Formats: sequence, C-alpha cells, structure tokens
Amino acid sequence: MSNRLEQFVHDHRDEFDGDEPDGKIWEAIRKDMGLGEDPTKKKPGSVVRLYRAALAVAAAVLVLIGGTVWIGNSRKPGTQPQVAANQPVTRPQPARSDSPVANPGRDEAQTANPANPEGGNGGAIRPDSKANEAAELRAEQNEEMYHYAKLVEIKQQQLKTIEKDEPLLYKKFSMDVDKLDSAYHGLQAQLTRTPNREQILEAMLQNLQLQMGLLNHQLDIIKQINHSKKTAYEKAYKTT
Amino acid sequence: MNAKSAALEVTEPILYDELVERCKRGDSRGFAELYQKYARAMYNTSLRIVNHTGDAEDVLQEAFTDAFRSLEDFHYKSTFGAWLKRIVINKSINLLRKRRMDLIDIEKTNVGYLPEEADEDEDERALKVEEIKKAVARLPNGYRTVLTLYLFEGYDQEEIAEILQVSHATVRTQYMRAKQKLLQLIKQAA
Repeated sequence: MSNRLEQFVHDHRDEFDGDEPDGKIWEAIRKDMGLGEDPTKKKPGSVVRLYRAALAVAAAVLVLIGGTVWIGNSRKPGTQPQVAANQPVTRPQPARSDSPVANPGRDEAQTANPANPEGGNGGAIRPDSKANEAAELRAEQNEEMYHYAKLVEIKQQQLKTIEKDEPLLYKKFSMDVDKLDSAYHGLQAQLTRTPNREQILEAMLQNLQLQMGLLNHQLDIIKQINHSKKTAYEKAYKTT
Repeated sequence: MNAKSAALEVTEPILYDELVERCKRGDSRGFAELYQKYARAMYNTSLRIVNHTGDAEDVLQEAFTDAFRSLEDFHYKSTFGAWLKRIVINKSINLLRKRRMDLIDIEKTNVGYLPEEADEDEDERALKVEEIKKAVARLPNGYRTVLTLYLFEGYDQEEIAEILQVSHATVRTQYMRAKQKLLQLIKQAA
C-alpha cells in the first residue's frame, strides 16, 4: 500500500484546499498596500501596446474634424470658437480660441461674411478679399496647430504610462518636454502683443512639431527598454 | 525605426503573466485578481503547516503584502504561484520556529532506522479527505511540516531539506515516520 496515500492525495488534491480564508484578510492587505476602494484606473499597458492603432484612429478623426470645422468655418465662422471650446483638450490651445480676443478686427471681418450669401464661400471664390484670405490662412494654420497639439497631448498621455515603472526616466523626459512647452507658452503670450502674428504662429507650429518629434523619440526609447526587459525575462525563463 | 520595433513586437513570444505585469505597473484591480486567484490555496497550505486558523490568516496577509511589495524581484524563474507558495511556506515555518516548536521530531530516535514496507498498514479501507485532514492536524509539528511539504505541496525531498535546512536523509526518515504515524491516526479514528 506504500503509495496508496500519495495516490489518493494526488487524485483528490483540490478537495484538501477546502478551507476559506476570512474576507477581512483582503481588506487588511488592501489597506496595507494603500490600494483604492474601487480601482477604476484603466490598464495603461493596453494603451502602450495599442498606441499605433490609436494614433492612426486619432489622426483620421482629426482630419475629419479638421475638414468639418474648416468647411463649417468658411461657411459659418461664428461657430468656430464654440468648436474649440468643446474639444476636451487640456493642453494650451492654439490661436483659435484666443484669436477672437487677440485680433477682433479680423474676426469681425470674418463674422460679417455670412451676412451676405456669397460671403460663405468667399474665401475660395474671391481670393482678392483680404479679410477672407487672412481668415482662410489662419483657419488652416489653426487646424494644423490643433492637430499637432492633439498629437502632442496623446503622446504625453502615453508617456505618462511609464511614470510608475520608470519614475526617474519619466521625470527627465517630461522635463525636456516642459522646456519646449514653456517656450510655446511664451510664444502664445507674445501672440497677443505683436503685430507680426504670422511669424509667431509659424514658430508655435514649429514648437509643437518639435514637441511631437521629441515625444516620438522618447516613446521609441521606452519601447526599446521594454523590449530588452522582455528579452531578459525570456532568458531567465529559458535558463531555469 | 518604427517599422523595426513593430516587427519585433510581433515576433516576441509572450512569456510573462499578464496579470502579474499589470500589478507591476500598479494596477490595483490586478492585485485584487491575484489575491482572488491564489488566496484559498495559499491559506490551506499555511493552515496545514501552522495548524491554527488565526496564524494561517496572519501568514496569508503578510505573504501577499510582501509578494506585492517585492514584485520587482520576481523574474519568472518559476510561476508566480510557485514563488508565492514559497513565501507562504517560509513564513509558516518561521512562525512555527518563533513559537519554539520542534521542526524535527526524529532527533530523539534512531535516525538510521527506516520502517520496512512490511511494517506499513495493509488496510485497504477507502481513504477519506476529511479523515486525512483531521489526522494531519493531529501530527506533531515536525512530522506535519515534512509530510505536508512532500504530500500536498509537491516538493521533492531535496527541496524540503533545503527549506528546513536539514539533511536529505533526515527528510526521508522524517517523512516515512510521519506517514506511518498518519496512517496509524487514521486507523485509530475509524
């Protein structure tokens, strides 16, 4: 019978784990760990993994919104600031939202347009109309700026997912982005004071492009780090 | 660059535990899920060794908290479950030691003596889970520890020798005696 007991335990192993730990234990662990009552945080990992797809979708949506806003803008410019206000973007918004204040003259010219019926397409039809030309140019720039601001925001969110795993790296990375960001704010402040708006807007756009390039680099670095970590796991797994 | 890293992503085999990875990233729901998944097995493992529900609960709480706090040190050299179980067992044994309970019951007897096969109970009566559990609980601490590590937790005798820091021969003898005693207790209870 030497192995009868071993065999029996082996065959009924799960039945030997019938005792239930008290529910208060998890509560104690949760408190010890400082875990929240109802964790509603989304999984950051899936964001990192899906970010290419998310970016593609975001870009497509932006093009769509951009197009719609641009068309709507050339027909009914009065809606423009509203659209900008509706965007759930926390980042400093490009000139669109503050431009009505910054340059009331142009906006008046713009809002005056729909008053006469042909004015709706005036920008395209009558390029000699100075006000319309300027409005079109600015709308275009605003779109572009908005697009980049949104991309920068998305990428910053992705970057934030490493905050827990690599706090030091995240700190360094966000310091670099912050430098560019404060330069952006400086430009934005200048925009309201300077007569040379086009140049400043151009610089702001460049700044956003730089931010995006920087964030892209940072995300690539993180990807490489994650990859080398995975390789290390793989090695550990295979050698033991 | 982007195309390259995308290609790498596809060819990388997934060798790690997604749930554990979520916890490493600080996902608090992941911790709750890990606890749900392993709590009962770990509690029963500890309970068989410490033989006291309150102590087993203390061990469970400490083991999970320690494991969660040192997830960074877990590098998939074993499964997460095996890693956690080892923490639970070490804490359970330390608790017995703290209570100054002898972990080796064989000291006073002849170490060289091993029961023969013929000495063992030839009773063919059906074994029952509850009867075995009760008998295990009545074993002396040393016997019970060696017996549960071998019989229930699936460690081999060399691993048990390492865990208890005794010789392989001691574990072997201890187990034979523990098993004999267990069968005797089952027979008595019947």
